[in-house]
Order: sequence, then structure tokens, then C-alpha cells
Amino acid sequence: MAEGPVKVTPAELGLGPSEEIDARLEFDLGNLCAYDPSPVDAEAYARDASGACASTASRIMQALVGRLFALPSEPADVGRIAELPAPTTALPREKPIPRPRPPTKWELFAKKKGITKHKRSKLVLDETSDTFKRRHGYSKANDPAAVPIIDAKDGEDVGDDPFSKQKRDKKARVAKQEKAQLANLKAAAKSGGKGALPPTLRLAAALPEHGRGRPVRHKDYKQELKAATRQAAISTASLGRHDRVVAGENVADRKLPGKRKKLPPVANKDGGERTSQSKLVDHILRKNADDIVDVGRAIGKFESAAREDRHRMKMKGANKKGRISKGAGAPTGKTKAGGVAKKGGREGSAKSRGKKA
Amino acid sequence: MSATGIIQPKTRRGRRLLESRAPKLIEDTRRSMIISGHKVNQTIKDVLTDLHKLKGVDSLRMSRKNDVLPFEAGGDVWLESHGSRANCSLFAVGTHSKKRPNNLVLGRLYDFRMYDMIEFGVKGFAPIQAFSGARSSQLGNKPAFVFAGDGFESDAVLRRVKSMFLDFFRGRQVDALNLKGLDRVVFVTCLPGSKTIVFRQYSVKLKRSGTKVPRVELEIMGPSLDLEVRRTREPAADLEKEAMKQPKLTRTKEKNVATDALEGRVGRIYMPPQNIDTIALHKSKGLKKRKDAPEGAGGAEANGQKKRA
Repeated sequence: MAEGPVKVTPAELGLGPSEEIDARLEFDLGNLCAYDPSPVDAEAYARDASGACASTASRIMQALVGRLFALPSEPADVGRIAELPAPTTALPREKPIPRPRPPTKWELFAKKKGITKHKRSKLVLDETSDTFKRRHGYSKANDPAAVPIIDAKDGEDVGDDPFSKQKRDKKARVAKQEKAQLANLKAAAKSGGKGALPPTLRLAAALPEHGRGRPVRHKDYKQELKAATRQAAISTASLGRHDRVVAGENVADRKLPGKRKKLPPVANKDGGERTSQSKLVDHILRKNADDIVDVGRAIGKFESAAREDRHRMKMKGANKKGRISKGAGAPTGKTKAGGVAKKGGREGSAKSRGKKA
Repeated sequence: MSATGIIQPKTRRGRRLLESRAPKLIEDTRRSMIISGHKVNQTIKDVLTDLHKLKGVDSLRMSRKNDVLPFEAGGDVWLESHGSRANCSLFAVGTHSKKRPNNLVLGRLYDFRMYDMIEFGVKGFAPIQAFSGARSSQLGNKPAFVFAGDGFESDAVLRRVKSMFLDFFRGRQVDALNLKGLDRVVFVTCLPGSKTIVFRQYSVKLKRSGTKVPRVELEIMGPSLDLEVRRTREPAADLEKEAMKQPKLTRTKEKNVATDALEGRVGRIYMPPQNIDTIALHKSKGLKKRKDAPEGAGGAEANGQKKRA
């Protein structure tokens, strides 16, 4: 025991990261990955592939292990735990980066108004039983529906059952909330795509997604059903003429489309189309040839428009040349009067000043 | 579907499952589907079995006949739908045909949309069973990777191959690693000239060297694959840009925790004030009221003195 343990350097053992190898290797310690970008020795592989693989692998692995054991580490029950740096190799993500949920309409409003959320206790004192009960849900505190009698208020309908009214109101509130929720989700999906929705929720296929999909409505279903019924009704030997009419079916729907209207040829110079159309035009022109413009009526309209124009200008306080003087507005229409009125105003203000002093 | 048009999970369990599958800043291990195609031979079956073993629990083996051709039209739709259902974003499809014997397609999905694919022809194969090296390493452990060859830098296809293998087998992302668990290494190299890729796996034995850094001994454990690159599918440019975007991670420092050379991890905790008068303490004999102690005022006085002492 007199001699201490013999100290050997890694270089003496022929292991450890020799500087030459280490310099050209690329490490990604976060992924425990080492890469040697030097060209592969093809001859060695041709001679002994498995041996070449093993030697290359162990050489690079030794360098990698050297790096890993040089990382800061802590002792563990078995072995040591090394702190790894973050991976450096760029790899594609599996799923998109999570984003915060876009605020709802209420949240936006609350922020604008400075409304903050307060934590409320789950239990509330129930005044009828004098015990603490849950704030919401089954057997909740101060449940308005749990009372046997509800006092009638002034101005209430006599025939209306207050209990059923409560139920009705509650249903309406729930429906409103669901509608708001859907609107918020739709807005979120529209602004941020599928990833903006919470992971547990999905919008129904009826809602168009990425410009795909067609909204299915009850109306559309009804149309389809109607068309199918009609098709079935007329698909018999007599085209539905002698078949029984089903309850709710309209007999008129069974009517087949009439014969196509035959139009006279257009291109033919002596064709019926041309002659019939020109006949029609001639008829209209001949009929209205004399009285296309009622001159008397036109003059009347013109005059009345001019009269109205003049009156309007007068009301505005214009002079005879049609110019509106400054400070006008008084119904007298005289510029002087306007000036006087103004003066009066000034005097009034002076008076008030005098009073003050 | 509810009347409102919002689809929600019907059970708590379903809800938890969906929540666990939500996108995360630091992602979970990529799961893989190992799919047998419409026709497979024994070699491809063995290859798929071994790939399944390498992925451990993060893998789904679809060993029946699956009529999927990833590179044909409609193939990606099949993979996307099955991937999203099984929460698998990696896939390996094995087929064997006259035109493409021993065919293996490795691919990735992003957001359960087809990202990229590489088709390999398996030229040489030796299964894990053929070697004894596998006995000493646990397949669930995170493997080390060694890539060798200039092709992985210069060639676009080989760059993708490197990225694919790393993504396929790297397992969970960790920020600390027990060095004792470093027990296998995936070695991939590309032979010059031909686009042949040599895939080997070795079990690692860390031997004492007299220094802090142990001596590494490798033993081949399989599977060994010699692969020839056939067709490839590059990701769409916009999809690649989106997928490559990484979140900004700010590692918050853990408060009141330090490491001690002797005791390891040491923490400082806050202890709220305790009311010793009412707390249920262990009753010791010494604190018992003595029978011979004077009763009444004298006793109270004695108690008071005791308290002061």
C-alpha cells in the first residue's frame, strides 16, 4: 500500500477524444448524437464491412462518451446523472406550437371595463335551512325552485305558473350561454385555425372548415326528402296518375313538367320569331307615337321645381341675386337685422361681466 | 354532437386522452405505426418486428394486411387518418412486390398531415435475434447516435435520411440523463458512390479506464440493415416552415434548490409556524403530572416554573 495507484492519461491508453477526431466531429449532446462529416473509407468497407463499421462506431462513440462524461453531473443511486444541453439538430415538430386560447367576447369586455374575476366559495349559507350548501347544482343554497309557494307580484299574469316560468327562464339562459360559447369557438377557429380550439372540443362537421364542408340545415333535408317522395310517387306505370295519395302529400307535386315551349327559329330571315317581335315593337311605337312627352305636364313640373328652389333660397336668407350673406339665419332675410342681433349678444355678455365685477 | 354544434368527449377518460394528446411545448415521444402492407415476405416481417422492438412502448404494430401504398394517390390520406386515431406521427410501411422487392417506407406526419417519406429497399438484414448483444441493453433506453459520412451533409436525400433516423429512434426529449443508461448506439453511415445506407446497432459497455471517462466497448446487437434509397417525398414548403418553427423555451430556475457535493440535491423549504401548545406531540413520561405534586395553586405555580425553564 506504500505505492499510490498508478496514474495513466487517456492518451497513453489510446482512448479518449484524440484532438484530431474531436476537431472534425459534430456533436448534438441533447440528442446523444455525434456526426463525422469526413468521407467514408470505401476500401475498408469493401474489405471488411462489419469490422469497418465497428471500428468507426467505437472511435466516434468514445469521443461522444468523453463529451457526455465531461458534462456537469450529480451523483445518483446508480451511476451519475448528467445535465444535457438542449438539442441542436433541427427536427420538425410533431404538432403545432400550443397557443393561448383567444379571449372570449366576455373576457374582452371585462378587460375593457376593468372587471376582475374573484374567487368565490363553493359553499353558501342556505337561509331556509340555516346550513351551508353548494352554490350551484343539485340541492343548491337558496334555490328559488325549492320553495313550495311563490308569492305573486304586482303586475304578474294570474294564469302564469311561476314554477314553469322559472324553468323556462333557466332554459333560455342555458341556450343563450351555449350560443355564446359556440360563437366564441367559431371566432377562435376563424382567427387561429384548428389549433386555437381547446384540445377536447371540436366543432361539428356542419361548420365549414378550411373553406370545405357545406352547412347542412333542416331546410335542405326537407327539400331532399320532398324530392325523393315525389320521385317515388311518379315512378309507376301510370306516372302516379292512378296511385293513392299519401297523407300530407300534395297532388299538384305529382304533375309532370309540361311540354317544352317551342320557340320559332331566330336565324331564319322569314322566321316567325323576327316577324312576331317586330310586330310587337311596331304596335307599341304606333300606340305611343303622339303622346310620348306630355308637354303641359313637363312645363308644370319644371315650373314647380323652380318655384321650390326660389322658396328655399329665400328661407336661407339670400338676396335677390341669390347670394347668401354672412351671419344670416334670421327669418327677416335682411343682413342688417343679423348684425343687430349679434350686437345685442355682445352687449349681454358685457353686462354679465359688469355684474361680476 | 350537441345541439350547439360542439363535439365534446362523452366520458372523462376520453377527455383525459384528448388532453394528453394536446400540443405541448416540449413534445412527447413520437409514436410510430409499424404497418405491414398488402403483401409482405419473411424478411420484411422481421424488419418490421425489429423496428417495433426498437421503439418499445411508443409503437403500434399493424401486422395484418393493410392496403396502403404511401407513395400512391390516397396513400397519405390512409396514413393521416390512422395516425391521428392512434396518435402516431411516425410510420414504417413494409411491402414486397416484384417491382420493389423488400420495400420499407419510413415517414413522418406533422399535425397528422403527411410531412415526408423515404422509401428504402432492404438489401441485407440480420435481426436482433441473430446477435447476443441485445441481452445487455434495455430497449427502452435512449440510444446514442453515430452518423458517419460526408453524404449526410452534402446530399439532400441523405440529410433527410439522417433527420429521419434521428427522429424515429431518439425517444423522449430529456434534459438530464443517467450515464449508466447509455447502453446502445445506433450507427448509420452511407457508402460513397451508391446511395446505400448501412444501419447498425451496437450495445455499449462502459469499462473502467482509470480515468473519469470510461473505455467504450461495442458489441453488435442488431438489427443490421443495408438499405438502398428508392423514392422520397419532400415536405411541402409551407408545411416544412411551420413544422420547423420551434417555441421559445425559457427554462425557469428552480428556486431554493442547490446541489451539494456530499448530499446531492439540497432544498430549502418553508415551514409554516406551528402551534406547539395544541399540536399532538409524543407524550413522554417526564411531562406526566406527578402524583405527589401539590394540588391547586402550588401545582399551577410549579407548572409555570416548568414552562419558564
